[in-house]
Amino acid sequence: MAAILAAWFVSLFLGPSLYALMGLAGFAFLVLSGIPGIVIPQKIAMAANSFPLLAAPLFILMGNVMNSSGITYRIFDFAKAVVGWMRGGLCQANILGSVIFAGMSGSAVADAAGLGTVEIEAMKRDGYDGETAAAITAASATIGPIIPPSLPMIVYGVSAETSIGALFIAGVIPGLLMAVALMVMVRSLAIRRGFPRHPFEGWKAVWRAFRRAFWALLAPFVLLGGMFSGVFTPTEAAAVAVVYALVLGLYVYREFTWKELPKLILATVETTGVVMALVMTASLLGYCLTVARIPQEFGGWLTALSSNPLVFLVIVNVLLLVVGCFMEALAAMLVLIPILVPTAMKLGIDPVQFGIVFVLNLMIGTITPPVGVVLFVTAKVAGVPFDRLARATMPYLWALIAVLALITVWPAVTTFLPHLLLEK
Amino acid sequence: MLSSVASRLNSGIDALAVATFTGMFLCVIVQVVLRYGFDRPLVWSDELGRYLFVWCAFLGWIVAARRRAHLSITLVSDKLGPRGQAMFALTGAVTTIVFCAILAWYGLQITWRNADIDTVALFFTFGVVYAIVPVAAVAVGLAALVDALAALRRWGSAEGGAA
Repeated sequence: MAAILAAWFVSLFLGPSLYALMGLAGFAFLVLSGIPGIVIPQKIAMAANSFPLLAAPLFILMGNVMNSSGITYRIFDFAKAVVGWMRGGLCQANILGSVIFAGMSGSAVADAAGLGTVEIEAMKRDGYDGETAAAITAASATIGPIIPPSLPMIVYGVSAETSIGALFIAGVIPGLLMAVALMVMVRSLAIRRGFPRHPFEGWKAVWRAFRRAFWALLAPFVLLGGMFSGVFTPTEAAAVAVVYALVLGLYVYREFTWKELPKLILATVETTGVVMALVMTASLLGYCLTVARIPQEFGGWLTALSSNPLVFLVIVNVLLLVVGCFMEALAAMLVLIPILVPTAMKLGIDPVQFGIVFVLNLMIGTITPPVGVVLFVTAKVAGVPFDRLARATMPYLWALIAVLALITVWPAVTTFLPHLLLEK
Repeated sequence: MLSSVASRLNSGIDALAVATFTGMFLCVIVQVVLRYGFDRPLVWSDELGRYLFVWCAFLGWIVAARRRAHLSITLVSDKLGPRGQAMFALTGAVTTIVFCAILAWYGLQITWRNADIDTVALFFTFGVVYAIVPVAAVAVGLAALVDALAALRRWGSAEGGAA
């Protein structure tokens, strides 16, 4: 199995679709260990036979609907009215906008491509250069999947058998901390580089922007309220949120019509296909890893090194940060969960804390070169070269790594809210 | 002629994908409405929703393959010239074709084996759920074949250009 994994890792860089390579690695393992190949379609198809995972396509649809219903403009205008008067005000508004949008979208890419387009345009008009605008957009987009809802957390919860609801709640504080860390970093950069600032427009302007954005701002509360009060499962909450977003886009803001709905759904199905192709083939590969007892071997090897949970977490952080640089987040997550999670549980690490650490690591990976999906998207949106954007994002990277370090050494940051709200 | 058949097939797949997704969405909504609104939970909505999701995932797999949206690491190939890129595209497409061939073969077998195994609360058998596997494998394989042929052509023209 180790040889297959090595060959698989090398061939990743030859550029075939990740899912096909995962599927072939699984097939190679099955042939070598004499397991009938009929396991392949079984594991692949049944990975999708999951009601919790069904929340994923629904959240993708919700993000798409929100993005086409003009909500992004309203959110950004509101954020601008609230924090736009600070030095580097549009950078700060960018962060606040991402925090609000994070409460209704579960993917950093959706944040960067949807809200990001609006933000970068506005910042360029205000005299920021493309890199500065794109860098803060990319960095703040990583808040999206930490504050619920969150696609990576759904996938993590399903494949690591951890409560998705608990993961969602646990993400709130770290997500807000990320925003604070980024805002502090923006402040120090703004003073050093002399970013533009504007006078405060007055409370009336804030109120006006708030009223214009009111229904959009309510969306996270509809979604999270239903879920955290225990009325809805995350999947049901996602469906209800889609209905809310549809009503908003079709009847309240009237930014699109029923006719455009099939196109939105088809785009959602496409994204679902991309995500699920990875999830499904990774589930086959995960099965192979388990049969080959790789998790036990790896865990034994790691615990022989040190049985201190903190040392283990630090090793995991370094490993995930490095892997995150070179691999797509979701694929990395799916392959590494069966390897790392059993050992984490054995060492007594809280599964929810481990999940948040895991997801945050890989989100940081989306804004690090050479493979950073969010960087790719924002570079394209802003029309700046990838490598220059990567360099401009560096300072924010440190801010996010500081938050990562904090949630690693201090479990209460992640576990406090779920314990409080779910009484487990 | 061939391309018109292909485009008709494509729009058929698109329509089926949208219908499946909508059905899946409605299953969850109906479940919520009946459980909380009328206190009469359904036995089948959860199960049907899940099976529609299986179909939806595979149909999305096809749509994404056709639009070349599936994730891959293009780090190395981005640095190559047109000929190298065509070579990488070709190996990538062949990898997909091989995987799809395997998936189609075993997918057919598992569909066959489940043809008379009943689902829990629904009127069709498990074979219906699995039937999408070979269909998607063939469709994705065909899309990859189109990509492979295009890559071959590009390779040929790049060679001519260099000479």
